Amino acid sequence: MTPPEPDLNPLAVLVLLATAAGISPQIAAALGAYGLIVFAWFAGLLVGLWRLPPTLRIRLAGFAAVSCIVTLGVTVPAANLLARHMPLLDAQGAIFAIAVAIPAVGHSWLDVGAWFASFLRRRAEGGLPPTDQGGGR
Amino acid sequence: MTAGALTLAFVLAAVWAVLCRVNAMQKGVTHWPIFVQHAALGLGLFASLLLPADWGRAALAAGVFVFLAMGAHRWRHGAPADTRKPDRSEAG
Repeated sequence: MTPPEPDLNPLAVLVLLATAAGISPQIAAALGAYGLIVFAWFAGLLVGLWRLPPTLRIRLAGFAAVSCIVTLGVTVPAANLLARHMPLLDAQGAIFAIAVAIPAVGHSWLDVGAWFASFLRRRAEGGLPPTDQGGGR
Repeated sequence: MTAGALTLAFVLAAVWAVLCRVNAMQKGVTHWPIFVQHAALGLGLFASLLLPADWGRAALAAGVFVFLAMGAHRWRHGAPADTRKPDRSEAG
């Protein structure tokens, strides 16, 4: 009899490692998820710093702190929201992608917000054909 | 306990050093592989803070290895020119 194939999803591996370290499975699941979010935040922070012009160390620390707080607070609700509206989306993959994107996009979120507002305005004015996502059900 | 606290302090200091270096780089100005080299080192260091001890050591070693491997081409034919001390006979 062959052993069952391990789940190599990063979140599942983190939960497995936390459980193996003697942490209860429920806490291990939360720690695993937030461990993945914090790791993704750091990866996004590196990309965000690469995109920005060099700045003072105090601003670097501020950017890191603010982006960390926003990532910890926003990632799970945003992933749940996306998963609710896009059934094909993998929620765990969305968690990682959102946690990377928040610090990586950094100051450009203002531009993204402006673009999204203009997109909604054009759509409300009838400039774009309506899509059938979520509308006809 | 002391070794654990020392390791934590050194790894956090190293993560901060990597962040400062990446902060000094800029897209379109700095060579892309230099960023990737430092990002790999930073991710290895940071992962070592999150993972259990054995896997943490492995992540740290992987980060250091990737950092050194990505700079290996500079050392293939001896020490790079910018590591040599100025020649005194030329200076005098």
